[in-house]
Amino acid sequence: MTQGVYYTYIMEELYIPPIHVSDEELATRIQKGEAELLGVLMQRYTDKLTRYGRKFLSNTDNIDDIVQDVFIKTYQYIQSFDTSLKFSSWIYRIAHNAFVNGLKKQQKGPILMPDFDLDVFMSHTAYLDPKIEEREYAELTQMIEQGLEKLKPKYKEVIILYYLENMSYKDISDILQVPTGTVGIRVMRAKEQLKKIYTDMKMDVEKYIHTT
Amino acid sequence: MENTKPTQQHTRIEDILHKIQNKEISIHSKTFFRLKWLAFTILVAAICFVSVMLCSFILFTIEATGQPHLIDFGTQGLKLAFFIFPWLLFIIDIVLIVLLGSLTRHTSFGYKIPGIYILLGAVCIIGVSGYIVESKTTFHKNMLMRADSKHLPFVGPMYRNVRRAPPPGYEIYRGTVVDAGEGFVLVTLDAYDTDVVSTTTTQVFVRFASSSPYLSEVMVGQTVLISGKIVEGQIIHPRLKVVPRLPLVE
Repeated sequence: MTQGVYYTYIMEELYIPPIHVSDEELATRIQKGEAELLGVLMQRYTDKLTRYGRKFLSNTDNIDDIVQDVFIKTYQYIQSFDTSLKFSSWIYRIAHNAFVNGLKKQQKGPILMPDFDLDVFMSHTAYLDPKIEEREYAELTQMIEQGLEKLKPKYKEVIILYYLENMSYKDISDILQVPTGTVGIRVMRAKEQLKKIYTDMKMDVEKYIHTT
Repeated sequence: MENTKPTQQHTRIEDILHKIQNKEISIHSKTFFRLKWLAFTILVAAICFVSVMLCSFILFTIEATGQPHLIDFGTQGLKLAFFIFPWLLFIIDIVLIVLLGSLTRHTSFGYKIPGIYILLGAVCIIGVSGYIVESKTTFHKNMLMRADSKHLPFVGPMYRNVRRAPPPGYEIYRGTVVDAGEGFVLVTLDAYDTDVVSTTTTQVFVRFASSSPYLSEVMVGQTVLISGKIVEGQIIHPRLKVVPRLPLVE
């Protein structure tokens, strides 16, 4: 069977499951041997992970290759996935590690994301996801993209996941493997940094960014 | 311009699926992850064990060398306590505890807890376990006996070192009371430079005022720490502390 025919067979004829089949259920079936269903998960996540990678890495030349590696790792490590947990957090965790490695290769200098981080070490008040109006959220998202490049990686990643990927603190905590309180404190500090960046750019940000 | 992105995406997906079909990409089995988890657990348990044993040995050393009593000897006592404290073992234990905390953070529950709590938890667990091993078992005393009889490889010198008397220069001495009378005790001092303190070198008269409370405390056969200056084989009006006696050398 040629590659093209095989792909059509998998994706269009036999294995495209109904939209309500969850990622977790697909992962379970892959664990049981239906490896072809990885194609469905890849379809669901390629754009999301590529978008995440483009925002995370400044040099975006090899993002497609990194994302491809993420899917290969996903398949290789699928038996370690606990199907009672969220698949999206798990695959984003794999992608996050891959992008951090990509970032290290890009910088070829000192590692900017050391294993020891005081934010993770200290205890912080439990932060709850604040409620943001939809319109305000859209405007804020647009503004954030402009200042993203100037943020430190550890702040950049929480801002991308929270504002641009629209994830909860809990999901971000599972992806970055840091306490929820740490996610909250990083979001707050990232907003403070963004505020400073925008002030330097002479942009009016008070309307959007409340750091207290 | 024609949008080629979906085609590229399909090609990449197709490529991975094809590699899977051709067994070029293999899935790690559940056994692989179970073994990995087992290896991780064994590593954590081994670090825990070594850390607890080190902690208990440090406590044993502190107790055996009478370090808590040195505080009563003023500045010289504190200096000596600082000098004989097993710093290297202490630092190794701290490194092991930090390593333990770091490994715990890599578990499915560990990352949800702030590092400070994990570290404090590890310190408490290791500390309490070390205390229990030191105070409720005869493990270290037995090891010391084996070290004395040269039947303890690797850690033997570490144990034999516990028997060392205080080093010279601090005017603090350790010895065994061999006689006691009106206003004096006779003490056989342990030498610092012997590996195993079975060889005694000097006997000193330790003279007290007749009303000294030390006289009622001291009995023949006890091990004591004495601070003071030896002049012509005598120490006058010293400070004295009875310390636990180590098991005798066989």
